[in-house]
Amino acid sequence: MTLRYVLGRDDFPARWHCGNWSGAHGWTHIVSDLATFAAYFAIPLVLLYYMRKRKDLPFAHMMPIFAVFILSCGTGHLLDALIFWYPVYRVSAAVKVTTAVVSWLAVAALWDLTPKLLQYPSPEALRVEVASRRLAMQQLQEKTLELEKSHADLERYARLLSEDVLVRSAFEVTPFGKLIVNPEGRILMTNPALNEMFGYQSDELLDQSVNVLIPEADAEHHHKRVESFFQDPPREKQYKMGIGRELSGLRKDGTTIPLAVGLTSLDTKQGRLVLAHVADTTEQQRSEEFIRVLFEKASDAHFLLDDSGILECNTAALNLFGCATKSELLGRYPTDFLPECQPDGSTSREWLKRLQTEARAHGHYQAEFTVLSREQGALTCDISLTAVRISGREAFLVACHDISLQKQQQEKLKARHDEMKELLYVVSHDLKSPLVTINGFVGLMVSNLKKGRHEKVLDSAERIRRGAQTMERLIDDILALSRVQRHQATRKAIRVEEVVQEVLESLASDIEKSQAKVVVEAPLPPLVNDEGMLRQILLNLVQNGLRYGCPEPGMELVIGGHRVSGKIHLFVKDSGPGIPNQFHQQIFRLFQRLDKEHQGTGLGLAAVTKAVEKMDGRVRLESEPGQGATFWLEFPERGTAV
Amino acid sequence: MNLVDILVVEDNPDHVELLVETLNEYRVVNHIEIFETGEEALARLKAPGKNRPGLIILDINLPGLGGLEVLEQLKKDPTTSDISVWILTTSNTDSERSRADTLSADRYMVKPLDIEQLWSAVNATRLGWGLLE
Repeated sequence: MTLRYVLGRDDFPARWHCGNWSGAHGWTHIVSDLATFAAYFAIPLVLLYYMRKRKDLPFAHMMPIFAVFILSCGTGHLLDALIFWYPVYRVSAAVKVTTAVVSWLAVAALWDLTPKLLQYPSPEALRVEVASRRLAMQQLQEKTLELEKSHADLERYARLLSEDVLVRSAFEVTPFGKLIVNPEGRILMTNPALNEMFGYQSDELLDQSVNVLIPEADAEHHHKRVESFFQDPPREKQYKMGIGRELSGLRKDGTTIPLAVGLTSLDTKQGRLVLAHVADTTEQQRSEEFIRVLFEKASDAHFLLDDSGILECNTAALNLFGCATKSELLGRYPTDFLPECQPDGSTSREWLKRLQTEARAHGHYQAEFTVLSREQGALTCDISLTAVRISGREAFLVACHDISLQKQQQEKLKARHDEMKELLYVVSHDLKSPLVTINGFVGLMVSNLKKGRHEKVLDSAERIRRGAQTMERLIDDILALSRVQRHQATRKAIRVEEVVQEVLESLASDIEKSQAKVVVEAPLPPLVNDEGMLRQILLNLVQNGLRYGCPEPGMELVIGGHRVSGKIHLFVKDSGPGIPNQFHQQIFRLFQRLDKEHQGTGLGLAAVTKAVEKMDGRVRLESEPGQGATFWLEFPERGTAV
Repeated sequence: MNLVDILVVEDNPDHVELLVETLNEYRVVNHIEIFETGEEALARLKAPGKNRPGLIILDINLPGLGGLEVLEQLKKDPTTSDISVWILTTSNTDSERSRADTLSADRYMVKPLDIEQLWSAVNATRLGWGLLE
């Protein structure tokens, strides 16, 4: 069979001529076949376009088969249209055979592909899968970022550490604890001093939260402080932490230590960090405490004074000025508590100014002054001012020592001393005087005896005896007075009448000599006091009464007493010549003798005065010349315990 | 030679007696006037028409006005300030000695009176002494 045969068209009529075609019907076939052919021809082109664009299309190897299949189908339709004019039925048959073969090849290929195609997921499953993958992807990305960041951090710190050997050693070799903290509060670096301070090993603190160094009670506050420090670091480079409150640190062993902390903000290339300087203030606090105790518990009043008033004071100062709390005293001026005038006559204001001037000039000044205590009234104090400087300002450290008690004792001692001096002087005179007499008349007597002038010897002997008697009396009275002075007063119930009787019995010979009429106005009120002293007083007063108050025989000496509003009054009353008013005080002093006639020693009433003092009583004289004399004694009903 | 009148102010009669006896022993014949208190002596000195004594022997411990006060008044008064005053006392304290000195006492003598001391004092003064040999 030749090609001519195949292409030959002589054996068949053109389709238009085969049958009875209407034009419309024929053209419908022709146009439809041509349109189908065109479309079938376009499909492989589109597929080809896809393949070129998407190299990754699955099943690409199927494409040529589909293309040939579609093209052979299209060619069949083209021939059907051509056959209306060119009856190439043999070509058409060949094309149909080809189409059939290719179609079955495509079916086979498809069949072969079926298991693979069935494996493909549904679109819904695909959507879920995609979403979950997207999420995983997102998480993965976050993790990656985090890792990158921490890597960068580490890199940054490593660089920081190795930046400078000098800086590094300055950080390491210092008595102050140092640590570097990042904004999250993680410890990046510590130095040996800090580790030792908190009891940690060398690298133990690294990467820990700074909170491990802070007692729980302070953690919250510290956290806030750190936060605000990072957000808004103080303008000054060095910032002192915890001003106005006590900072403490937590050691590894759980104990706490007092701290002083300074913070420095480090703006590094790697971001803002904080360098903390930490000092353990245990020793400082202890010495501060010692100083505070020394100051607070000192028995003397201490205070600091400047132009604005009292800056600080101790408890003794509060007591001295009679203030209950410091607020009552601080800010006040000492003159508020001083009387208008000082012992030297100047006003307290001038006086204090002068003290300050002196202290300023000499550094220190000491004086005596009077202070008005709220409770104890005016007190005498020893005051010392020391010029000091407090925070660059002039101030004075003032110490006051209450010397009122010493003053009183000093005055008492001085009075006692004066009395002793007077006693010594008078005793030396009064004892010497009879000695002069005795000596002189012995000499005179010897001289007269030698010359045989016997008439004067008796007179001399009499004078010598009187001199000796005077000395004896004086010595007795001095001993009595000394006994009174040394006497330790006691208190017990006294039956006054019995004491009076004893006194009268012991003075029986004096009474007989004076021929006086002694009257006791019974009953006498009892009292609780020192019996020995009362006996001494009555003895002296009755003796005096007999000696001076009863110059004539038969004169009356009356002893009486009564109780008046809780006081016991006793009296010894004579009807003698009386004592002029101007001597009423003087008579009670040592060695005051008013009467030349009698051999008094001048010690009797002085002893009475002393004894009355020991009994917490008073003695006074009521007398007018010519009206007799009455010595009044006044005692508390119950003497105060001694 | 005019014998001086001697005025003695002494409250202790024994001591007056001893002084007078001593002067007698040495045969001093001057006129001696004795007062027990300073007040009485001053009244006598200021009384008009009386002889001025040439010497006053004054005790310190006297009742009332003391011997040194008497001395002070005597030396203050121009009419008596030139009279010699000898202090004769049992007291021998520095303060009294110096006070007597300040008040221009002419001598300070301590009892018991040493006869030799009195004698030399008498001899040393240019007062008119009448002595029986």
